[in-house]
Amino acid sequence: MISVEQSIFEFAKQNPQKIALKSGKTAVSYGELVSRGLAAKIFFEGMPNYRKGSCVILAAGKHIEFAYAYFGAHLAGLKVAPIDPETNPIRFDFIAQILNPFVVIGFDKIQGPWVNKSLKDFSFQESGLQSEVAFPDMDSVADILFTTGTTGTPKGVPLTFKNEAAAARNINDFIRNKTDDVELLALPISHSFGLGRVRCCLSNGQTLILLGSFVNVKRIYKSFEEDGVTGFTMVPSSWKFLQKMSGNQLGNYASQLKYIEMGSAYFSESDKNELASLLPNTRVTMHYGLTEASRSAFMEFHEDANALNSVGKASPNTDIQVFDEFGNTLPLGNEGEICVKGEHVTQGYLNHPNNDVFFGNYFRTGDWGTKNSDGYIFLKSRKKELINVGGKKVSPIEVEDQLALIPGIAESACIAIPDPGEVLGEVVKACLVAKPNAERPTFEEISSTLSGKLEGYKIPAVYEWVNEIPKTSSGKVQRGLLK
Amino acid sequence: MDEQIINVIAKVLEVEPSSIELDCGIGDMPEWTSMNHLNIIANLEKEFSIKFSQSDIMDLEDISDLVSLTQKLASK
Repeated sequence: MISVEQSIFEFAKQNPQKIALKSGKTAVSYGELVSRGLAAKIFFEGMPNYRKGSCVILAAGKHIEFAYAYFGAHLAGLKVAPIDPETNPIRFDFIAQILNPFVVIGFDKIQGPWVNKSLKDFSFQESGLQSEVAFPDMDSVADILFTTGTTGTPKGVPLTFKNEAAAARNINDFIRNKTDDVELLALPISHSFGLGRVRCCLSNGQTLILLGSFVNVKRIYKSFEEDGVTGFTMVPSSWKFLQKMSGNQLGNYASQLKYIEMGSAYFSESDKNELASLLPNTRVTMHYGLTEASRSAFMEFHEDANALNSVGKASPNTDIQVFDEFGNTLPLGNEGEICVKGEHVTQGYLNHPNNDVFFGNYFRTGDWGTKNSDGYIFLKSRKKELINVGGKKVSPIEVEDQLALIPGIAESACIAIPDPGEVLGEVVKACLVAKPNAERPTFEEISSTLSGKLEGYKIPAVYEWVNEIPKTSSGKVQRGLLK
Repeated sequence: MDEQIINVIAKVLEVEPSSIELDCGIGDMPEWTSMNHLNIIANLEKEFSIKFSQSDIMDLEDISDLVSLTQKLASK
């Protein structure tokens, strides 16, 4: 197995003119990507305080310069934390404190004990840098991704070059995307799903079009027409939005689209059936996975039509077992914790003892479910009480911690409710207990106080004043009792 | 009327009206999420007593398209 970076370089040697990435009017060939990635490597190595193994925080938007900085940092032996350019300041500080980055890219307004660089600094004009490249050791850490931990504080997930190359190999094996496929990515690349698509497509020699968001439906279909898109990526809420905006127009491209990858949130059996009939000849795939164990299971809506209520079977080169709470493998059909083994799985969280993260070589997902004799995995419940807003995970505790700072609110509990607009899947609902003898803030006032402290999707869409928050005798909030 | 339309958009996005540029693409501002897009459509419909059709919405690429469409529907 070779790293994603080495795959890109080897492909570029044979096909330097082929378009690798496109964003808006900018297109960059594999030859240019490699040469600019190398220029970025040299740029990093020439910076004061550069030390191999240091961390870089990188704004992961839809700018093509992201790719130069990302791959260049890897070639310079740096660990990259690609994060959402809109990350709230509290989360940013938390991440920066953990990583102690020597350079922060794309966050020009946030100052700290690091060097700030703009993404524009990476729009190098150099070309023809063909020096011999030493690729990073496969067991060294390439990226540190941050998940929404159940406690509300982000958890750092280190992924090695081997983890990322293995994930790309497994995903491409299942989806069967080919070098001549053109993929449209209308998802943010700051998340594991979108960033994974960048690695899958580029290590496969494909052309990838970065759109960044799903909102501009006209641009999506325009790109289908003009760029000859054959591959597409969606989270369930993107499909709902696309359907709301354009009905079943996606079906007009049924003969053009060779594959779709979906993931990141619940998608009902009837939705799966509907999409499968709209695209009868497309490989409509959906994964189940986590940042820690990217795309551990897969299904294809036509092939797996008899098990659409499952999350599919273990991905290629992956094993999934169901364990009891003591780490014993359970017989088929018995409910327990879903655990995953494979070269794509992280070795454990950053700055965390990790003794509760694995059963042997199997990563504990925290999800409960069963496996049947055909290998299909059925999810029963999410142990982690995260709220899934359009594929973005929200820790209720993070929102509650901010609500607790607002005068007039004694305590609160946040839960997931179905999105009344029927687009995002789930939205946050905050149940609030008022402080006795204090003036109650209005819901608008609460939202406006939270804005700026939390990302927009984390701000509750619905509020309700309640008399009390139900709790267990040990004081644990019983979110399940709230509606 | 342009100003009024921009104000509706700015209010939903919680940004200053001056930060909205007409040649900016729909969804290009980070605040312009799918949820806010639906809210902008709903608020413009309410404010100007108009109704956007699906094909109208499908044809919007830049903010200027949204502004001129709203003007056109409101002047009918």
